[in-house]
Amino acid sequence: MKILAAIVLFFFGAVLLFGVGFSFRDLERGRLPDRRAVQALVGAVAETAPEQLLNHSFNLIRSTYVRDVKPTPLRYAAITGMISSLGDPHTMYLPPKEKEAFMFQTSQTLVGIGCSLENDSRGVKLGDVFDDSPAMKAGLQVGDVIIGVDGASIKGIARESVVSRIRGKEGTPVRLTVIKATNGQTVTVTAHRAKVFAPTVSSRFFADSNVGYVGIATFSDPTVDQFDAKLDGLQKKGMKGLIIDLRGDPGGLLDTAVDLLARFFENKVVVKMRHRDGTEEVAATPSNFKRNLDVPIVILMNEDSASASEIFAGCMHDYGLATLVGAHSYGKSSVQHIFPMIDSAGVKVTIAKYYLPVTPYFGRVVDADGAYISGGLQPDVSVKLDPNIEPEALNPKKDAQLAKAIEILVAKRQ
Amino acid sequence: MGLCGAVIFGARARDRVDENRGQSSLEPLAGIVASNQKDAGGINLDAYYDEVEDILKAQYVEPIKDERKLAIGAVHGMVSSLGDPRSQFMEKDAFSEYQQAQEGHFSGIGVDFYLEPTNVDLSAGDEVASDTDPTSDFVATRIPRLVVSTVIPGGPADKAGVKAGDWVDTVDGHWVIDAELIARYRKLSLAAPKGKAPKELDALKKQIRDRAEAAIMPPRALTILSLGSSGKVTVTWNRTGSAPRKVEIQKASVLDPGNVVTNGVIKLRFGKDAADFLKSAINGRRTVTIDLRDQPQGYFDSMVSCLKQIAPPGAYGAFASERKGEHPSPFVLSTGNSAPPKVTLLVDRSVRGPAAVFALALSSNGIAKLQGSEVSVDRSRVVVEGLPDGSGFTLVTGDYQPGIVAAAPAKGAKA
Repeated sequence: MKILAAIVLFFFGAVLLFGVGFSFRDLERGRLPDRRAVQALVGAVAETAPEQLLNHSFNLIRSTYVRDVKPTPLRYAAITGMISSLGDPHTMYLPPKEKEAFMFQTSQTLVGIGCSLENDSRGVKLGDVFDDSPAMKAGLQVGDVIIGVDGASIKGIARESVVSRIRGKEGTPVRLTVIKATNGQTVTVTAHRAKVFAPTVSSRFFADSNVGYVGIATFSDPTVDQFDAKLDGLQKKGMKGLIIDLRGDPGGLLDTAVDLLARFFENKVVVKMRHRDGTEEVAATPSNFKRNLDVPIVILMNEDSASASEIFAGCMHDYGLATLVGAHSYGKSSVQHIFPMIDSAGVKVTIAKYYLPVTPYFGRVVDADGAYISGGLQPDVSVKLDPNIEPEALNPKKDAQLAKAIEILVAKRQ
Repeated sequence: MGLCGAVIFGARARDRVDENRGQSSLEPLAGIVASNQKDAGGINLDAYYDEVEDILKAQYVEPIKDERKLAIGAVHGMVSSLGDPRSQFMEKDAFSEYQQAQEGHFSGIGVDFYLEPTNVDLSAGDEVASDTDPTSDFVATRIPRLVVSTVIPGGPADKAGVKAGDWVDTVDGHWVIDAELIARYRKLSLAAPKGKAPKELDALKKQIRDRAEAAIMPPRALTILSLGSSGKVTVTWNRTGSAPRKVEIQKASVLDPGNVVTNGVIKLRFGKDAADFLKSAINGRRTVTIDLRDQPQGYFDSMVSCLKQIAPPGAYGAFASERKGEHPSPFVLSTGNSAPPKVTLLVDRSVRGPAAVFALALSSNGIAKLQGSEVSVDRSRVVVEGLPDGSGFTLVTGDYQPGIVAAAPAKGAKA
């Protein structure tokens, strides 16, 4: 302690001696001068100011590196590295270009006629026609071939260009020349462009096992209605077991996850969100949306099932409503917010963590190279896919996880 | 419900993809020379940095305890963005080991490694040639290879039969990602007709997929093999012209026999005390033989001090850079030994960096004759920069060219 006192005195002495930016009254009040300022005065170099460190290295690289280095990318690299040092894979710097792409991904709305197009020697073929879409209202069906847009032939034009011709302002008409799949006749139809939502829910009824299948691609706004519609159809067919496939579902809106869960239980906690200051927010399911559905449920998941997918699967599991089959999920249990920067870059920051009703915190832990160490929801029944088999959608023979899910549901009935 | 409207990002955001981008990307390098803090966008680095720091301090889910860690992270990011195997950021333990090795104290398996830049030919097709996006998976084809530059005599790797030029294939079952294999796959798959993959491609795909299950980056393999003096590590080695060889190696501390005189031959290592050693070893002798082989890379400054013990003042070639409009900076000794002895240097391919410059500077000026085989092509001048938390980095600042007398001596490398 004596030594410490001596050092402090020495620093004080030095400050008094040089008398820079610090008054006797400050000392009288017992306030210590800024440590770095003192060190600068007495010539101590034990501590380097963070800004000095940054600037020194920045200038060293810019002025002595064997090749020219542009300052802007070097600044991006500095901020990227600074944020990487937190060790959180979800807190990241988004340089202007990447931020633009990111915002588009999270908020994209599409105006068009609501179908997917495939290449065809005559033009473009309709691979899928979305429910309630302008294409469906105009009488278009899967297999129809579009050969002209607004009177102009599209023969030999790249599919991407055809897509951009069909898309346009909301509410405007587009005239399509179409060869009908049913009778081979050429007709002209008019569709009115509108906001379309790609289907996010698919379904299938496996008649031989009486098992219903619902695949959720992402948790977006229209997902809830689509989910209800598909489930209605399966219940009408008399399904005795339900598979909810969340494999590859990266998540989406928390509200959607809550609304879907409300179909299975009411007035129960879904997640607790905890901020750094200790404040908590709780999301719970509302009442009056519970479906009359008394069949066993299996949820399929894998390492690409993340965030909202994990909330859905985790809650169903925690309340004993579903068996989890497949592989461990991604382990995304935090909430991010994007803060804009002056140069239209952005900083995406993890601002809170969330917790499931029962399952302890399951955040993903990775090693220095980003490889998975732990985290994610663990499946009740772990099934690995054979990497040598090309996966085929909705074919249990080529999808061991789907086959296992059906097997479990059939066994539960007996 | 207070959470209404909250988006759990990671959704369509595809965090897993973003995560990879979060790592420092390899930026293409070209452009202007200026050392003004404001960059092309007129943005001040300090202010920008402070703004991000403020956001993190106020919003990040964990409290930010160590501001210095952020700054060092920024330095790490900048050095990594150079995408240069000779300019490497090292964490505390790795940097300490690096400094120890320059003094001859090796741990791990007793090997000095070199990250060899890959020069994979990507001209398989137009698609490849036009792919300049640094965030694409093509970056993988620029991953350097982990090559043995020096095997410390008597050390664990030496006993296991490892030779200079061998390169690491796997460490404890982890594949050290090999750019060449990835490039070969990429080329084949681009050349393959649509919908019909040749057998060779399928085999290669399976091979990469199996190996990628447990893959590590070369710098991490380097750390595993260089740190620690106990425990075992299993390494598969590649050698040109032979089948891969898997050996188990017991880690140990080993001191390389540098800075000694044996039978009149001076074995020189460019650690911190190299010049003092050399002075006493020469001790006025008129004929000396110096063995430069199988030594750690060493420090550039130490090499210059050693040069002054032997060579008279004068011009000794130049250091060239790839900077636009910049002339080679002359390599000048302002002081030196005006009565140089007759020197024979024992060299081979393991002589690189400062040692290679030492050999070429002396031989091109007729002071020394080289005996053995040609020195390494790595003749770079490397700055070693330590940071306050014990980490540090290396930075290449020029490539040596013997015999060149630079036209513009304004920015001379004063020595």
